[in-house]
Amino acid sequence: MSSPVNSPINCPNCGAYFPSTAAGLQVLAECPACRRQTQITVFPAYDRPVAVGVAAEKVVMEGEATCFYHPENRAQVPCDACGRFLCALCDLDLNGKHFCPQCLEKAMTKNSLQAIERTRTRWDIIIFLLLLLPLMPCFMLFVPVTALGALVLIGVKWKAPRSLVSNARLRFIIFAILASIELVAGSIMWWTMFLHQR
Amino acid sequence: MKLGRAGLTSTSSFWQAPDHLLVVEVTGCVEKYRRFYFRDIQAVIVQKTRTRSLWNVGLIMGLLLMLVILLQVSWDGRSDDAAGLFICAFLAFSLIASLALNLLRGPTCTVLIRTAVQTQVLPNINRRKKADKLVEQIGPAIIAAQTTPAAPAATTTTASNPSGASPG
Repeated sequence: MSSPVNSPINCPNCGAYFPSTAAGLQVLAECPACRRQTQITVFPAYDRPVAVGVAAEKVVMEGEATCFYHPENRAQVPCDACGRFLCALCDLDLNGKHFCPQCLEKAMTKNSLQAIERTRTRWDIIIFLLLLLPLMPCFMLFVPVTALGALVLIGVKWKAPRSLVSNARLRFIIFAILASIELVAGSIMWWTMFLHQR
Repeated sequence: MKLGRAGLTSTSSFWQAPDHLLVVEVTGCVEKYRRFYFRDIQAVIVQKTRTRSLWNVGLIMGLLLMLVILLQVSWDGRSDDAAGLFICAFLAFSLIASLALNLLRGPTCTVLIRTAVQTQVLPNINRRKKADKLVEQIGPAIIAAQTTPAAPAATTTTASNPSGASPG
């Protein structure tokens, strides 16, 4: 099922609609309302009708497999995560894999599906900031504490999900070396300042 | 494949995967991901903005102010104002350098990607040169993804997943 047309492209600044454009064209247009120069590159997907969803089929014969969530609907696919039968209404397609709403929600909460993962904490940046903290004069005395904290954090977060695009494992190794140096230097500083004077 | 990196307070990088464009935005200690699947992209919109002109006006006004101060100080001919003169000259030079950089980097713009369900601004691409480079690089991949026989099937998949245009 599909509706016939896509809505026309509108100006990002004022919202006015541009005159209709054809796919495969790179148009340099001027907004009819705010006169801003705009370059629009239209792709074939623009001319395709908008898909509006598939209606679930009802069970017509006794003994047919039914949807786990809608017993009156005929099952179409099993969920790739939990194996439950799903009707067209419950089937959520993600890059060719089928999920039920519950499994997809669980995956979103746990960040277990990379295709729908939206955020990750950059522990390497946090550790780096922790290592930089003693460079500020007011925190200089806390070098052993921050270095120890950084080392503990590296150990705890060693297997945590890392950045998708940067080599956080290498940074962890470098920061572990730096933290060890800071810890030794800080301990010597503490020993000379406090313990040695006794 | 990395396409670019931009930003001052938050950095954004753009990565071309076989079937989608991944936009990675790092703000503080959190990395945010957005995925635009090539089969779903309907249009890329690049709109000229007035940011460059506004910066130019501001920088020229600042420069004129510095020149007035410099002329005033040199007109008085007081030798004890050497430090002030140096600071003014340094500021004037910084303003000239910023103005030159702003002119050299080209016109400013905002870039949007339109799919069937949303129109999203691409963060930190605010210069026309960068925008053109991005469109040049992802354009062929988008056309290839939408003209292959698998493309109609991809359209029907969005039927059961209305948010499928960019799940990330």
